[in-house]
Amino acid sequence: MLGTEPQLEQNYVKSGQVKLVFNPMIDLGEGSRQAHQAAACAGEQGMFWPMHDLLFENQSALYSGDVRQVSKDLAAQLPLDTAQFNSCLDEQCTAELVQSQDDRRRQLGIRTRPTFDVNGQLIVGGQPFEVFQAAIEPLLESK
Amino acid sequence: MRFWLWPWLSSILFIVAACGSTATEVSTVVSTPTPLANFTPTAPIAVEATTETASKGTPPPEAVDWLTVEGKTADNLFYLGNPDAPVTLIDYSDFL
Repeated sequence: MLGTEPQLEQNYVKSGQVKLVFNPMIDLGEGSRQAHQAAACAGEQGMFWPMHDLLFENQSALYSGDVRQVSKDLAAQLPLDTAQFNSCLDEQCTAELVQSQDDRRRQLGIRTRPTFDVNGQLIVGGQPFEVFQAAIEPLLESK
Repeated sequence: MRFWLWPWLSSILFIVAACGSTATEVSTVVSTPTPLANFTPTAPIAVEATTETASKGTPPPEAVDWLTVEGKTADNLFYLGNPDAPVTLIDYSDFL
């Protein structure tokens, strides 16, 4: 959800009003699986969100290239232990975690990508910032 | 008798010399703030607030940039922001 995410971050996350959570969807087979594992491997070093942003920004490279290698190249741009990251990815240390999270969203009946859950209210599909704003503001006012 | 006095006289001279250099340093330090006598503040200085905070031993409140905070939920999902935020937005998505 790269489109509206920066606006949500600047308007709500930065001030501490909204916590942003990412639940992986393995939607396009092995490539998706490897990209999610790469994000989780970066997350093990406290770099999930920077890696998340890099992966979204380089979607075309992920589509056309070797996802594992592209992920390693992207991770090399981050201030993390590259050897540890590569080992994590090669040994699929986060495979079980990613699979269990994808299984959970299937159990919840979430099939459309992307889907957003705002305190239990579902927003389906890519939506403009105003749609999120309309869902978030009443929740903040009631607190 | 004179030979017996020499070591004492030498010690006294050494101490006076050493104190003299210290006295010079002190006078230098004391003379440094002189320009402050002509200093005219252009804005109020919150001396009392600082003193009060310091006496209570609590640091001044700082605004947190929650975009620098990430962690894991109880379900091991990665989150960004305030873990106690009133609103939680879960993004179900794929990188491809």
